[in-house]
Amino acid sequence: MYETEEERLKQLKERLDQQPLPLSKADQAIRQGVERVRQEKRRIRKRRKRFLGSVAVIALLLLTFITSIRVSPVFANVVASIPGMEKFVELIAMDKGLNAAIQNDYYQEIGVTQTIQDKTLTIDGVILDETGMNIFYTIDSERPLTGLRVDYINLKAEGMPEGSFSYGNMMDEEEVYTYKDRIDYQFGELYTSQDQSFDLKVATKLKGEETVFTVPFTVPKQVKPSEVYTIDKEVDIAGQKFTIEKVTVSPLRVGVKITIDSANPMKILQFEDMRLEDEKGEVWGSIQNGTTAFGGEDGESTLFLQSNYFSKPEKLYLRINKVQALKAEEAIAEVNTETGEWFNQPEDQKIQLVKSDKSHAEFIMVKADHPSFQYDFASAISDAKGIEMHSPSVGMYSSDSIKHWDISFSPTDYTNPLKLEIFAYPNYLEGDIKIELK
Amino acid sequence: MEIKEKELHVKAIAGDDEAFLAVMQLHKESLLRTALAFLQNEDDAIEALQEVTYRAYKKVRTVKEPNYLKTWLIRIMMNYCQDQLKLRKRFTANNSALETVSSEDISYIEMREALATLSDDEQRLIYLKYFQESKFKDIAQSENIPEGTVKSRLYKTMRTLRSYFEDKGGSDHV
Repeated sequence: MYETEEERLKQLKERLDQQPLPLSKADQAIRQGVERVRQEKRRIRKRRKRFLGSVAVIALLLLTFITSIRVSPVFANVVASIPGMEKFVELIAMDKGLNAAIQNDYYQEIGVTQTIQDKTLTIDGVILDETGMNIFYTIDSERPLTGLRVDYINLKAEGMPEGSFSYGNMMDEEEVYTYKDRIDYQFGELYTSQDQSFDLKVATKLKGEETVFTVPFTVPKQVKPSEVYTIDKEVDIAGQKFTIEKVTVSPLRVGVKITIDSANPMKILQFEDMRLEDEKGEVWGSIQNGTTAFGGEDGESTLFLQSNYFSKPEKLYLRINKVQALKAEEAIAEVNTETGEWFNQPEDQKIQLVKSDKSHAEFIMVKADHPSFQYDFASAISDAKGIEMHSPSVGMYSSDSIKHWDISFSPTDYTNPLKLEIFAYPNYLEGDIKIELK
Repeated sequence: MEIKEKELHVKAIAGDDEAFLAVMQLHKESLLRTALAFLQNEDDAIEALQEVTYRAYKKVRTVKEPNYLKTWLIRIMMNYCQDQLKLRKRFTANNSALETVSSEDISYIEMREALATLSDDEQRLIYLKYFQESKFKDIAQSENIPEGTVKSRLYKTMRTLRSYFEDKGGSDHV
């Protein structure tokens, strides 16, 4: 019945069977796989067998993240009443600020399209403010778009400062003819322009075929100005000092500019629970999906929170109850990848170096101790001669009880020990900082 | 299945480490081929093999029927590969190694494209039937569905493939 197709499949199989196999590497991979389990077992035994027998479910962080989004029916209704917006509901559900911007009519329809061969890109609409722009767009085709990926994105406008952006979405399995996404573009500094004209470039690849869309568009309504609260107040959490410089409230996000005192005995790594709170106790926390902070030099940085721009509370407080911190001398991990030593490992040993060689190092943490610790482990890495390592790839994954960070180094002709700037660590300082903004 | 192979399977499931390693050795070629067919990249295939070894070693005791250990391994591999392909979609930065198909001629590329349009379930079905040359009975067991369903799904999948080629106008079937 389907002889032609069967024949073609058979040809493809024969083709694949002729491919040479990397068998010696395969043996190594099998050994490594087994070794990983053994190491986990050893580690788990040390922990008084607490986790033995738990179900092994390998969860990919992002996948769980995306599938676990719940959309409130009220919000879904509001969004659905805006033409063309219903399909983006799940892309904004995680951010209270975005929800509020849409409910307050701050979303602007654009409706500009470009068609290249069988594919059409539509900029459905945007949310623009002085800090950045959220661009909602769709790619449609008569052919299935399964496997489509966005290679790069570029946004241009006159005088626009450089910025950062995040994008990327998983395709709906049922809707193979449509790809939709939100680009979260963030300007490096506040930016406004007279004509609000932009050029968006989106390069996509589908089965090796590249399509580059270039779509000029203009945002009709002028942006709402940000509200700036100048604070300039030094605070202290368990002896570590830092200054809250100012808080800028914009429709898309709230920026909190802080400077950390370089004389602190400990290095503050993450402000995990920094949040805004109004007089009724409503809370706006950190950004869940997008740029979370801009770091500057001299301990200066800006952290971003979800926006309460449209809520107009009577009172507003900035609150912090715990920060992640390490002793200054432990904040840059010194590791010899050849001997597997971590010279200045924090005493609590919550994160351990379990395996390393010149091309990679694997760190692990027992998850149950800090189930919500979902951070990268290291940021910048340099070698003993101070040469910065180029784009080492970092894999973060979890098994049922262990969280892994797998860091690869290339090239491998560096000099040990390596210096890894620790980005986050599950050691907390507690305090109670409450600053009145209004 | 040979007696020796079955014996190894039984021991591996019982928790014998040496037997587990031997089982992995025995099936590594099939597992690698599976990874290569889906991921089309050697480095990724090696990484996949490590991950599948890791997952299989942790769970091998849960396998009930020694005869199906190989299909069970292949299934873990396919699931892993399909997850990876989905992640690639999201993290486009890691995709530099994807374009290794240049030497394949058009017919193979077309077939790959056609397969990529199928659902995950359909892809696994085609892979098991035509690439692993598994029996309907084994597929039914591995996918946990009745044999009749396997056959009807396969039939439907072939129809989808044909209509893909018809839409493209690239097929020369009679």
